[in-house]
This record gives sequence, C-alpha cells and structure tokens, in this order.
Amino acid sequence: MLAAHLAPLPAALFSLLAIGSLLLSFVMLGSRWLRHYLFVFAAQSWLIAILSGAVGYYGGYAELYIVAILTAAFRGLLLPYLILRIIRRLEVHREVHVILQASSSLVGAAVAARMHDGALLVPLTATFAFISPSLLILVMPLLALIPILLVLGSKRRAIRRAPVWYGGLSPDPARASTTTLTFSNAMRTFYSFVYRPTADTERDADVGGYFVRKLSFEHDVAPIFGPLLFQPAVRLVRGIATRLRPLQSGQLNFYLGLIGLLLVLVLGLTLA
Amino acid sequence: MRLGPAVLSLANSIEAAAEAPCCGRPALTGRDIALQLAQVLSVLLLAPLLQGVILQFEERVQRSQGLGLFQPYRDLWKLFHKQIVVPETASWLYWAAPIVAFTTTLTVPILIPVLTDYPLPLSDMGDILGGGLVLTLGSFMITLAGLDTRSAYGGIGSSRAVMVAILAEPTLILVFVGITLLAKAMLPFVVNHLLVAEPSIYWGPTHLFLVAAFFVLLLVETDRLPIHSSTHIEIYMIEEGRILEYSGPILAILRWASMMKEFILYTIFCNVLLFPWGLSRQGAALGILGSLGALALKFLVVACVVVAVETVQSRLRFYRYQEPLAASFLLAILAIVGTQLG
Repeated sequence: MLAAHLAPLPAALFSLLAIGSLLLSFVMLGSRWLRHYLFVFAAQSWLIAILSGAVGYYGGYAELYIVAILTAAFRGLLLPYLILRIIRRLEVHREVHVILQASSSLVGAAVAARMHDGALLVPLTATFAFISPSLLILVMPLLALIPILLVLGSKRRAIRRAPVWYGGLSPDPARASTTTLTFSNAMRTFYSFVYRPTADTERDADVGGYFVRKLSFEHDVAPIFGPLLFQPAVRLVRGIATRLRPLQSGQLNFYLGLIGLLLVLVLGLTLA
Repeated sequence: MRLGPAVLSLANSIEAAAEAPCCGRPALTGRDIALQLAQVLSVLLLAPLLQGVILQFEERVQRSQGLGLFQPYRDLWKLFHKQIVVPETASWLYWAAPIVAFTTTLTVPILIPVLTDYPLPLSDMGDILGGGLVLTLGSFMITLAGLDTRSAYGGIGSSRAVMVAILAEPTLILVFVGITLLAKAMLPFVVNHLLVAEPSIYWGPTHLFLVAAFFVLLLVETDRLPIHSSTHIEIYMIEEGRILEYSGPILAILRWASMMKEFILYTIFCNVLLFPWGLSRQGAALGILGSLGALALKFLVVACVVVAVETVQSRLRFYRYQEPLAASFLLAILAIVGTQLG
C-alpha cells in the first residue's frame, strides 16, 4: 500500500490526512445546514491540498505543489466564497434542512421522517391523507378473533367433507375447475375491441351429422401491442441499420476514402 | 381559491383531533374508546336490520307479505346452528377468506364517522382510500376462495366479480379524486365538516355529481339491480356464486360480512357525502342516541331510493354492465370538471 515503501512518519501523515478528509466527507453528508456544509467542504479542500503537498514533498513531484495550491485556492477559498454569497443573497439557509440531509436521505430516513407521524404514514400533511399499515397489522388480527370465536363457538357438529357440487354431474374436479381461459373470458369479451378474440370450432361429423367424430376448437387473442407498438419501432431501427450498413462494409479502401474525405472537409473548413 | 381559509381552519381542528391518539395527549379517554366500540358494534348488530328493511320494503312494494324486518337475524341464527360441509378440494384459503372478509368489515367502521363527526381512537389507521383498500382485501379473499374449491360456479362468480370490480374501479378512483379536489383532503371527517359548514359547496355541481356517481357505485358494490340481483337461484349469480360452496357458521360469517359491507357503504354515502348532518359532536350519550336515530332516518331514505331502483329497473345483461358504470364514470368526470371551473 501507500505506506509500504515510505518512512513511518510520512506514511502516518498521509494516512491521517486521507482518513481526515474521509471523515470530513461523512460530516458533510450529515450536516443539516448549507453553511456548515460549505465550511466543512473548505476544510476538506485544505486537507486535500496539504495531502497533495506532502505527497509532492516526500515523493519529489514538483507539479503536485501546483495541484495543492490550485485545490486550496479554488476548492478551499473561491468556490465556498461564491456559494456563501449566493446563500446570503437568496437567504436559503432554512430550506437546506431536507435537501442536504444526505446521510439519512441515503437510507430514506429524512423522507421517512417527514412522511410518518407516530405510527401513521402521512403522504403530504396530516390533514390530507394518512394510513397506518403497522396499526392495521396489529388491529386486524385482533379483530379477526371475533369471527374465529363465532365459528368455533357455534360448531356443534363435526365437519363433513363432500365433493364439490357441479349441478348434479360428477366430473373430474381437476378437469372441471375454472381455467384461465374461463376466468378471463369476461375480460376478453368486454374489451374485445382491444383483444379481438377469435374462436374457431370445427366439427367433423358423419354423413347424417348426428355423431361428431372430431371436434377441434381453437382460440386466440389478436395481438395489439405487438403490431401497433413494438413492430413499428423494430422496423424503424432495422431500416436505419440497413441504410447504414454500407458504411461498415469492411473494405479498407472505403474507410481510407472516408478518412480522406474527412481530411478534405477539415482542410476546407480551416481554409474557409 | 375560495375554499382556502375555511378548509384550513377546519383542517387544523381536524388535525388536532386526529393527532391526539398518537401523540400521547389526554384524548384517549374511556369515553372515546367506548364510542369507538359502539361504532363497531352498531355496524355489527344493525347491518342485518338494514338488509331486512330493504328486503321487506321490496316485498311490500310487490304487494306481498314479506318475511319481516328481522329475517336476516333469523337466517344468521339458523346458519350458526348448521353443520359445516367442506368441499374435498378446499385448501386453507377456504377457511381464511370468511375470517378475513369479516375482519375487514369490522375494521372499516373504526375509520369512518358512524356516530361521531370527530375522529375516535384508531380512526387514523386509514383515510377513505385506506378504508377502500381494506374493504377490497375482503372481496379479494372471497374471489380467491371462489376459485380455490374448483367449483365451476365459484370460478364463474369470481371471474364476474373481478370483471365488475374492473369496470367499477375507474369510477371509484375518480370519485376519490373528486372528493380530494373538493375538500383538499382524503379524510372522511374533513369532507363531512366541509359539507356541513359550506352550503355553497354542498349544493355545488361537484358534490352533487359525486353523490350521483357514488350512488351507482353503491348499487354495484352492494349487489343490487341493475347490475346483479342477489337471488341464489340463477345461473347469472355473482356474489352468491363465489360463496356457493360455503355452509353453516362460515356461510353465516360471509353473509354477515356482506351485510356489514352494505352498512359501511351506506354510512360513507350518508355521513360523508349525502347527509353530513346529524352526527354527534360531543360524544354524549344523548348525542349518540340522536345520531343513531339520524342514521336510521338517512338509511331509510337511501333504502327507499334503492328499493325504487330495484323495482323499476330490470337486470341488465352481463355484457351491458358497463353502461351504468360508464354513466357514473361520466358523472365523476363532470364532478372533477366542476372543481376546475369553480
């Protein structure tokens, strides 16, 4: 790491400065006031400047001194000064409370603090709307005891198990149960202008037409989102790709030609 | 906005009352808890009576004797003394659905103004949308139970119930939006106070159109004509189809839950939208008795209108169900347009 090939003193100094600036970033995240935030920001910039200066000194990199000076000047002085002026003009120090409560808003605590009142979930204000899932979860099982006790208290005779009533018939329950097609039939019929369901029945009967030998039933839903929404987009992208394909023909001469054209264009622009 | 200050002052008073239970103020008195219990109990115990009144009135309109106002109580009593017959194919859902449905209908009376016009303890568990959510949970469980037993009738009933719910949903959402735009809140208590305080809003187009739209929803959700009739002898059944495999006490629980759902929807319709007056303001015993009496009067008026609709209106074909719902959707849209004009 950093400290491996350095003397113990500079290594300790570097670690101290680095951890100090890290600590200051946490302080920044947690600061409630914009003014505090800026002061910490400036302090951190000075720390970083000292750090780069120290690295430059111990490592012998002269250019890092410039970095240190620039950091201290811009990040440590000019930027905070400008923002402080803006704050003073706009008088925004109060609104900062929520905007910059980053450490807690990272985990949603700031938002959560504003959206709940005791056990209530309050979306906007306590006079607009509220709901309390936690209270409901506590209260509803307690209230459920009433019907449970009513059922248990009134049970005089043993529970009898019986097959499901199918109007007098006794089909296989697995085959007679409600299928997805049955369940969604009302939906498809109501919104037939969207789904446009199709149902074809073909009967293969004997000559007299009395005995059905083969019965085939087909149902489908006419797709609407595919042909009207996705297909045009796919077609557009494909069309553009087809048009652009000659540009990527893989011929080196063509590419060189393109580059030459570009050069001519650049030259022309410069001369103009 | 012209509603601004009034709503704000009202909202503040409501806020103070609504926050009381959660913030440890001395509002959690024994009387409030007793009142909250009274709200749940009145829904629990009076729901069969409402059903009985509507059925009896219908019989009388058809010039027959009728079974009496208390027949639903007798039916429940009888069912509680019968044996439970469970389909062989039933799973745990079969047992859970009635319990959940009954629980949801016990929960919603806590959230809405049944007897008092101010929030009682635990009233802040949900607003109008929360109440709708809880009620829908019960209906959802019954739909699952209808599919669970593999009964052909239960499956068809579930499919149709889901379809009706899908058709009713846009109107329901728009009614909620309309109420929110009207009162700038989703709390039933705020809407109630606003309509009592401001006759101009009460008689405004937004409110009246919302009432009309909600009335159609009321007919749909409480299993009334022209959407579907409650008889269990027809192949077109919806609500009865889902619970056809139930018997004995668990059927009684389901029936009772559906009566309570009807009572709850009537309460929301009357106490929040149509007749916001006549609720107890202080929670004194006399006021509670008065609000019970007022509730009876309000329900009588709505029940008479429902009976009239059921008498003059024949049942629609299943594939024409969207017509009344489209009409109510239109009414809700007009209500929202009304809020934007005002």
